[in-house]
Amino acid sequence: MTQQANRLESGGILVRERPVEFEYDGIRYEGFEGDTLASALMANGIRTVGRSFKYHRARGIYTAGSHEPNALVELRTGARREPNTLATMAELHAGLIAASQNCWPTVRHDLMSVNSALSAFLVAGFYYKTFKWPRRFWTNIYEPVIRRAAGLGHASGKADPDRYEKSYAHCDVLVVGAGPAGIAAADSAARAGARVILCDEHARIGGALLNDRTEINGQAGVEWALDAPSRLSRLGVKVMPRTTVAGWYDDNTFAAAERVSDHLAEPPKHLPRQKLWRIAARHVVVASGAIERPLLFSGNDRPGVMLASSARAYVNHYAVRPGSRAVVCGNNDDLYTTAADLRRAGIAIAAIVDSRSAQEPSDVALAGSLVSQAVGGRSVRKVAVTDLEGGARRTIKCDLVCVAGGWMPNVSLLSQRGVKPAWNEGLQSLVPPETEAETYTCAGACAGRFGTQECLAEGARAGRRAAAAAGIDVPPGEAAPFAASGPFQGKPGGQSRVRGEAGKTFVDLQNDVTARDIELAAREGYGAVEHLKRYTTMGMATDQGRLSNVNGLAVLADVRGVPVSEVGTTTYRPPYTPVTLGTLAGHFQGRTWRPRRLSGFHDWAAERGAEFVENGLWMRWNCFAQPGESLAQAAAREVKAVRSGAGMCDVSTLGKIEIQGPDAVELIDHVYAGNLRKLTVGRSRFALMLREDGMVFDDGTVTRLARDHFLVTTTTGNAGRAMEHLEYCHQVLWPKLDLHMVSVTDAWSGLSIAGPRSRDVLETVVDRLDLSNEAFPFLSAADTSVCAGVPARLMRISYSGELAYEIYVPYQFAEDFIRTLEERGKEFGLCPYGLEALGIMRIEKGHVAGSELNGRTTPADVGLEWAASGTKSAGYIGRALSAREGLVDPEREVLVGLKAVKPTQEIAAGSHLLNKRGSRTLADTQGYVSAACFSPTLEQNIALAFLKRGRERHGEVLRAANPLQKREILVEVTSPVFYDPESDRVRR
Amino acid sequence: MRLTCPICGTRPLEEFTYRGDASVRRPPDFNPKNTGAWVDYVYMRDNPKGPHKEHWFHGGGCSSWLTVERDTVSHEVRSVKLARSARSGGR
Amino acid sequence: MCADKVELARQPSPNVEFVPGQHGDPDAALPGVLIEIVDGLDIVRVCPFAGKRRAAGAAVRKACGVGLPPAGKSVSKSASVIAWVAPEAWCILTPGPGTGALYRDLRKALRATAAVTDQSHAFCVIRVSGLQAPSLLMKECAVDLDETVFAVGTCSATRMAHVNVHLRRGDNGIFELLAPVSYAASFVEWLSEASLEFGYQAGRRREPYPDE
Repeated sequence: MTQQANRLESGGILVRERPVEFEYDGIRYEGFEGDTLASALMANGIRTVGRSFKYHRARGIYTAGSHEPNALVELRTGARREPNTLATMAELHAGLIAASQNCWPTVRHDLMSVNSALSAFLVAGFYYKTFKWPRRFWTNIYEPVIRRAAGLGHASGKADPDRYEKSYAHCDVLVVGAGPAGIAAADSAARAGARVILCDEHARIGGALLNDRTEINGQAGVEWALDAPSRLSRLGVKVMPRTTVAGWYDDNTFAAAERVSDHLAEPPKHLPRQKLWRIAARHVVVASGAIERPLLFSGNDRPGVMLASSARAYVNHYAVRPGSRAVVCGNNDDLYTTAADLRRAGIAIAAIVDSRSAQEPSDVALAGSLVSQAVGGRSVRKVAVTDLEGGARRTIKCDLVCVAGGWMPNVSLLSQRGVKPAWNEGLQSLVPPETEAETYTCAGACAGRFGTQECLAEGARAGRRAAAAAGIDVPPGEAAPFAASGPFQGKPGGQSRVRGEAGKTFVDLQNDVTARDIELAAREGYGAVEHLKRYTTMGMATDQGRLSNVNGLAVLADVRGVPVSEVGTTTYRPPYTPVTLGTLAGHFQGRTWRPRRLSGFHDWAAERGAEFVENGLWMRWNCFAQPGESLAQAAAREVKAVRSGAGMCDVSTLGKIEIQGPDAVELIDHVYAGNLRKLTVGRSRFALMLREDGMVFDDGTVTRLARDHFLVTTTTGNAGRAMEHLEYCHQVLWPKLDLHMVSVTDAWSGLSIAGPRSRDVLETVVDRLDLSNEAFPFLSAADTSVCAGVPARLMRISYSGELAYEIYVPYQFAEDFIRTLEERGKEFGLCPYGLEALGIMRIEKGHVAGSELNGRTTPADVGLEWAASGTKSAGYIGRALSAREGLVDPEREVLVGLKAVKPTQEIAAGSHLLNKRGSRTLADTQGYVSAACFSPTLEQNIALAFLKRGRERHGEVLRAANPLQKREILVEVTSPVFYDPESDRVRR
Repeated sequence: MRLTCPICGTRPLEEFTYRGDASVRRPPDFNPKNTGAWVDYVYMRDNPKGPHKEHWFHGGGCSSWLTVERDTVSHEVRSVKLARSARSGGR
Repeated sequence: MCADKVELARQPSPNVEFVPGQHGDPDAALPGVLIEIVDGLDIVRVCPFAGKRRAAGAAVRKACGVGLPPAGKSVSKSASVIAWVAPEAWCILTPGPGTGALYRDLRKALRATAAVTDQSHAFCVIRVSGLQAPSLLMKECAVDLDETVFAVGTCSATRMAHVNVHLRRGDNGIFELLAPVSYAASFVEWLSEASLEFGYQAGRRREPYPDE
């Protein structure tokens, strides 16, 4: 076959100097820059481009746009392979590789077409009635087979290698669709002084002007359209081709997906593949055009049947002959424009079949008739044409059938906003009920106005209206008038269908839904339009029913015997066309899906080989395992080092909030349980924040740096929530309090220095502060300095059961500070320790943490009733409901310690505690284990747990049951404080 | 969805977090006989179909607590005020 | 106390991988944006107590030569900037060693008048300029940065790339961003990647301290 046998010698919007080589189903072809994959395939004579979803019928190219139901291909190979890509939208470029889908072994000879033979059983809703028996066949046979047969293309299964981005944009007027109406609207809105964004899904703007022969102000419509981008840019319009407005959301915000480099073989490194634009517009002009309505007849899906406007597009825009001998059929004047354009391209017109009986018949034009059947397997060969009045039937040979059933305004976007279109009897289609509203204006074909002249005029008027509605002071006057001519899509005649022919009449091509399916659904009781959609899957394919919706409603109305206006419509939902997931994620996927927070000591720790663990957004040191050490061994070594010498642990991630002002103490007193007023300057204390229902919300410290100056700390995980809570208490509950709060979590980097030599270590860095036990006892705090004048904050608090301090230095001094400490602390055995060791030490000391403060425990439950004194009358948050019966019930589960009776047996956190003897059901549970570890200090396995009446049961032996792993061990109940019970070490 | 913060202007939803009904009043004091009022404050909420006054926090912006009047059916936001100037709770 | 005397070195924007030089679009003759990380600032937050706004403004003017600007605005005087950051909250930025001198001075001057907090180490300060600066920033900034609505001196607190950022438009088309320092590495990573399309020039800057 000669290359591009169907290409016209001249014309089209193509770059003919350089042929472009591409591959389809393993064969190389040529096309031109400016082609879509579909036009290039058509130029090379390829008629069958896919197999239909259910029946595997051969299908050809049906349209030239994004509502294409048939020409879905797999584009590219390897990790970039993309299934279900529309060949009608894919821009041809050198090296493009595509493959047909849903067929095996080839699209021309597809073994799955056997489905067609079974079609009587595969009618709508068949899956609700079959594959049910025998039940056991479902998992092993039916489901795997169906899965393999289902779907269209296949995803690559590999990680997406491309980059994606997102962006916000603001404008006064967003114009959706850059056909004649859209271009005119953008132009007049910009001239009126508005900031305008114009989006179109195609690579070139112009819409129908690129596909039809029109004239505007003496210039060819195509030229006028190709000049438009520079004309509009000069007016300041942001012109965005290749950008689909995919969704319209509240407050006139839009999601638009821009295909930045899909038309290139590979995205260059500095560009993303696609970009998601989040556009906020004051007013939107919807100029999304209209879609031609298909005709219903038997075999209306055969390759070679296509929309008349698309046939004109292939001839005029792409300079390709869709066939050699055409029958043009429909109910409006477009038939004659189509025939003229096809003739000009050298295509023989076998017949013009006009359903309107008032038309003048001629030797080629048949009036009052319709195509009733198209015949041909892999390509249409002939059609039957039936006279609508007499029923006379004739056969006409052809290889191309162009259908022109009228125009359907593209109401998808409006429908997303809940605007229900209304049936317009004159246009025989759904039309937006209001074309002008506060937030939007419809213009052009999507408003039901056709004809180039009218679209331009309406667009210009819409642009001015939009600018005014957006609040622009529009200078008075009219938009400049246009003088245009073009195909006049006149009012269509009625819709009819010739029945009685053999074969299937398709309504939804992509999901293989036939007219008979709709009739069946209505008969089975699914005649409500929402039921019809789900039962038949009509309108649920990737074209979202844009081609099938109106015909489906008409068939339904016919079956039910009601006018179409009574049937109602379903709702279109975003996205308008499929959007790839990478675009929705943008930069935030994989490693960068959320920001990471790093402490000032991070680089130092990474250098020392720290193993990090995620804690919320933070990276924290877990342990510093030396070569050959397991995690458990490293943690045990670190614990021993702390308890015998000194250790340092990064506590920068704790929330730190400064509260200052004359009423600071009031807020603190309201928010924290207990009597915080008593706290003196230079002192810290452990403090609990409760929820209003009496449960512990967070634990931390409160430090009084000065009379009106407090520093509170929170757990890492609750820092944000605690800040939000404090702001709520101040702004909503106690707005008259005179104070200010600010988070200083990042400003200060903190280390916990713990162990019997920790005081010695600190004395090497702290300037001039007496750290002796007399001068700086347990729970002291000071604003001080280190290393000859670097500001620092020092608090003497401990979570480990050892003498310990927390020292905070400014973030940017942290790295040099820890190096200095490392150096000077060597002689005292200073060793870094991580969360693993910290976790062990706090369990040994019986210090509660997140696993105990789990939102279901009160201060009394965890042995911290001293922190929540109840002597005041005004009450802190949580006090009012703390005294409820259920919270003071002696049967409550309270904090205890557990020792494994056999010391080497691991206790599993989450185990249920059961009496030593008796049944093992959930009803028998006595409590549960909240945290467990192997204690290197006690050389045995220990745990913290909650136990009913736990304080009375020390010494009792229980079972700790782990039924998920079918394990059970014996444990002895003890005090939760295993180490330093009198806090002697802490207070030394 | 966007909210117009009185301090910062119109911002997208990502900058805000929702808390709940703003019309409930925190009882003025803790009185053991008053537990019923506290239980109502903490647990009981109406679920209106229509206008709803609710608290939102502009955490991604000025850290102001806001009282928003929103229609739970149409999702239309009728008004946004600073919570401290709209009477909403506490004393 | 002067910077020289302390024994510790102040790390410039730690943890951030920021390679100086030109990056991105190989065909761009000129970079579309310039990104500079600014080191060596003292940053102090001032929040006047109830009824003390005027007194606080006067004290700040005495200490820094310029008073508190109105909400949503910033003012500058030589190398110092005072920017509104939140309701009843302003930040004073001036070159300094970060050892607390400005904080101590202001604390003394504003005793009982305002809450004063040292934020010198809380932020990574990034300056973005160039013709494409607004387009770059609006990739993750939902605030309209067009100069008709975001004039010189305007300040905004918003969220960019999942990070709470304070942003203001200074003179000469320079946008200054304050990003919390713990997020800085991730934020600069996003900013660099987003700048590739425009071509960008990366650099660091440290203003000289007053005593130097």
